[in-house]
Amino acid sequence: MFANVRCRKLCALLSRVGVAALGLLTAAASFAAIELPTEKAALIALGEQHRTAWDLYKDFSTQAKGGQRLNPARLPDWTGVYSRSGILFNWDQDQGRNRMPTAKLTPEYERRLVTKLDNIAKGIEFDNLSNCAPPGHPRWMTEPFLRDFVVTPDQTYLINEMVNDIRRIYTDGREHTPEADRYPLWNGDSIGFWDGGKLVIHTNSLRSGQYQRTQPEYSEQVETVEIWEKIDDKTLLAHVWVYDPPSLAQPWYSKHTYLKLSNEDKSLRIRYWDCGENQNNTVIQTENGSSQFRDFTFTDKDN
Amino acid sequence: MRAEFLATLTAALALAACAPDAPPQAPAASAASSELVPADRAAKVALGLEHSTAADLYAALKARANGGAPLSLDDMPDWTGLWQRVGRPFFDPEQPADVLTTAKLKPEPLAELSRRRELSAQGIEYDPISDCGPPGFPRWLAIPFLREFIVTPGQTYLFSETVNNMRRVYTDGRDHPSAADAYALDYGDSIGFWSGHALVIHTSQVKAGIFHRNDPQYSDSLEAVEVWRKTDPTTVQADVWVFDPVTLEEPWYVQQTYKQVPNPDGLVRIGYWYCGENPNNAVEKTDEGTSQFSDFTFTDRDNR
Repeated sequence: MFANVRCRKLCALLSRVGVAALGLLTAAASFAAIELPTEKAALIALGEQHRTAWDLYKDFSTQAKGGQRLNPARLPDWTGVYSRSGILFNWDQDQGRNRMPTAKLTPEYERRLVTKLDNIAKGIEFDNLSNCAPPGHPRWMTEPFLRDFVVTPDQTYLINEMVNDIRRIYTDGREHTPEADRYPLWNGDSIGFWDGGKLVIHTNSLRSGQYQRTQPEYSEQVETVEIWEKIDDKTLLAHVWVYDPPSLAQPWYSKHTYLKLSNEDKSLRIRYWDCGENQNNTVIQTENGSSQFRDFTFTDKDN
Repeated sequence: MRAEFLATLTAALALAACAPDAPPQAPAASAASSELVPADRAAKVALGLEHSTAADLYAALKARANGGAPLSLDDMPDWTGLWQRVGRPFFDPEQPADVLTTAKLKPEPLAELSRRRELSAQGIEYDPISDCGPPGFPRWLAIPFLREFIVTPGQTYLFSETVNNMRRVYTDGRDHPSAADAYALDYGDSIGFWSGHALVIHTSQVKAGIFHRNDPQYSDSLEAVEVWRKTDPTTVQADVWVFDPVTLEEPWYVQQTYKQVPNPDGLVRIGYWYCGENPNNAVEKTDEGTSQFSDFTFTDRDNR
């Protein structure tokens, strides 16, 4: 009995030393193999060097030797409540206040964008979100409001509070859904791997949509590669390459930043978003393609 | 290289030394949870009756667990995977089909439930979730479809795919919002603590609703205590005590069971649930209080 107790104590001590030593090695091994260029031009060129999003993703995977499964005891700390920073309706912040985005659009999609912007200038606009539809990916990247990011060893959840919009990134080694079983999904199908503190994601099986209200449309052939990383205590950065042959003459690279909100007293909490809660917020599309509130139904209760 | 060898050797020695009689970890962790609440249903019902409010019961469980202990990343409960509720489609899965309810209701909600069940038997029924509203808590416990339980040290996310319902349970030591900032929410405000691998939750600030289609109504005074734990590799169970002085004569105890959905090839994946996606699924409440599909708007495109 005594020997057992002594052995257990010794085991515990040796375990701690061993685990600590392995932990140091894991930390050392967690340096990312993928080194992204710092210049935007080089990041754009990186996208152009690959014909498809899948090619770019596979290239990253090769650089990272397939990536590593996260150590459950040493997960990246992405906890907290975040919000996207930058100009609300810009997909690429470098667009600034320019009318046209930084994307190299195909003639057809450029024509569509010009028509849309002309209509918006005349006050004619309808956003699908008005009927409580989800933004879908990649537009998900640009939505406002609160976000949280939940990292677990085999799956990462990227959550935006608006319409309870959750992206699931499978990092357990599974492949995309087989081609025969695929169909367009709001947030597509996302698989990924970890390279040190970088989460590399490939997304396909998407629906067509628009990047934002004043931004171009994309087709359901759109695919993306993202590299997410926490670059300081309060900043998550996502590099995004979008490939969509019908709409983009070249892959579209952009950078997205999410800032952790101050929440020292923890009073900031994400709640369920019931988009249809207030009937007087219901927006319908008019015959000329614009937006109009339904007839209001205020009652004494609303006062 | 040398450091790597030494570290590996140390770890290997530790593992080898511990292998023959190292105490199993899981039972040690779950022992605390099994002592937290009694094993049989009658005793659990009695436990609820010993407390006048959900807050009292929660405080008693917390005292019994010595305040609980934060989860550590190197000893996390494994609740990963996809889950589905099992049992009858009543809030109390053990309720026989011919029983009105196992809850001890006050006269008015009892009369309301009797009336609603009679109408339902005549085919007159309208469910508030027909307009894509969330089921809300505690009904969340009883709805069907896929679920995920995502455990992190400071927060546990209890997810149901129906209208993308996400409950957030804060286990980082924070309290409920102050009374001045509290208002009724679809899922209320949930705080909790861990006792071993058992998660104890207190929820307040809920909106009024129904426990399930053929179940009683509850008021926005409702509060609940839940004790969640994994009882075997494919089962997560929740003991639930509901307190609602407006509708319940005494706390209502039920046990919910969620079974893991086999998914060896990883093909079952949860997608975004857009309730309003198909306008031909829109259900309206008629003047007589029953349900009717909106006028259909099928087009040629729908035949594809």
